Amino acid sequence: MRISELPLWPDAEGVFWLVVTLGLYAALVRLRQRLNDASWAQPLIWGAGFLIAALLVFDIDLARYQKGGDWLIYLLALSTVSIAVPIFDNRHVIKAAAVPFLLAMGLGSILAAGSAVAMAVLLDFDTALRATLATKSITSPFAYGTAQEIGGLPVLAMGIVIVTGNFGVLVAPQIFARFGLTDPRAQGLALGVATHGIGTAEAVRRSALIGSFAGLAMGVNGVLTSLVLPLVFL
Amino acid sequence: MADKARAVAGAVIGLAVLVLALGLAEMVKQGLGLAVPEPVLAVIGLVGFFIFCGRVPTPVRQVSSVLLPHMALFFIPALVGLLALSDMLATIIAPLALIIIVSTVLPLWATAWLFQKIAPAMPQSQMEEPDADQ
Repeated sequence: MRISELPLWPDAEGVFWLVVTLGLYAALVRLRQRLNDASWAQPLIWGAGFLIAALLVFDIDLARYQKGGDWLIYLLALSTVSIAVPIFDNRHVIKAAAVPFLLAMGLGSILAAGSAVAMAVLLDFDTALRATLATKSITSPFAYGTAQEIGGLPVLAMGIVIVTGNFGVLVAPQIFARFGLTDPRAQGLALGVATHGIGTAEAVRRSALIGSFAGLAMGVNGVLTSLVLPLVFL
Repeated sequence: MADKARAVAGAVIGLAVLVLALGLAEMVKQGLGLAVPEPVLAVIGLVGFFIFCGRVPTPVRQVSSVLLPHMALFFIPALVGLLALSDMLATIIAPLALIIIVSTVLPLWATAWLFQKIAPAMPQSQMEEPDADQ
């Protein structure tokens, strides 16, 4: 995820997989629109599942796919950097409730990482896996870099963050309804902390206010947690 | 025609700003020996830059409005990369699923609960029409 790690321009095969990934994504986005934004029709999950199946069926080496795919991972780093824009835009929204915002975000963040690491210790996972799970409340590209810093597995960290995000988005409406959590700011904050980018994307679709709290929580939590974790783990 | 050319130029400049922010972040990180991911430093630097400018420069806003809604696309190769860990994952999949379920549900509930308990009620003017949420 460093600029000096920018992958080489892909060869013909890399370009082929790049085009396949883009085409697949575009088709899946269309499909989801036709299905009225059904939450099970996530382009990410279906796209990755389809590509993994294709690599397995045709017995293609992962490294050959990644010659093209690595370019999109670099764009992921750039799009994460652009989170600075919604953070700046929403600075007034948070000012009005800064202390509750930071306290609730801190509790959620500690619970997400703490419960994951505590269970990993109980279940006797090795240190690399524990460090990987500690990054699970951080948005993925931050999680990738943080896992690198604290001796975790970057690819697995991203995978766990993505799975967490999708699972969280599915269960969040039920949790909010069952416990009477109706404040849209509280919902956005919880989605941003617990389900990162995927939950934030979902929150933006629900309303601008939920979305702005989610984006801010994701950004601030991602920044603070990735500053703190190296101190705890190193 | 001129509008289109200007939009393309804006997107290229915006993208260049993001690459520059990431590059500078890497230099700062190396220089100070920080154990913090580069994108995190880049976000901190950019927010500082926006505060200094008093606004988000238009090209940066343009490129972020293209990149942010399509983050799912950029995640696809990352998820495909899990294939490299499939043997290891097969041995821990059940406990890992349990950990993910607990450590997702718990903060979702606790974060929303605590904020709702301690935050001042929202001014009516900021309230959205009830059918806007969920």
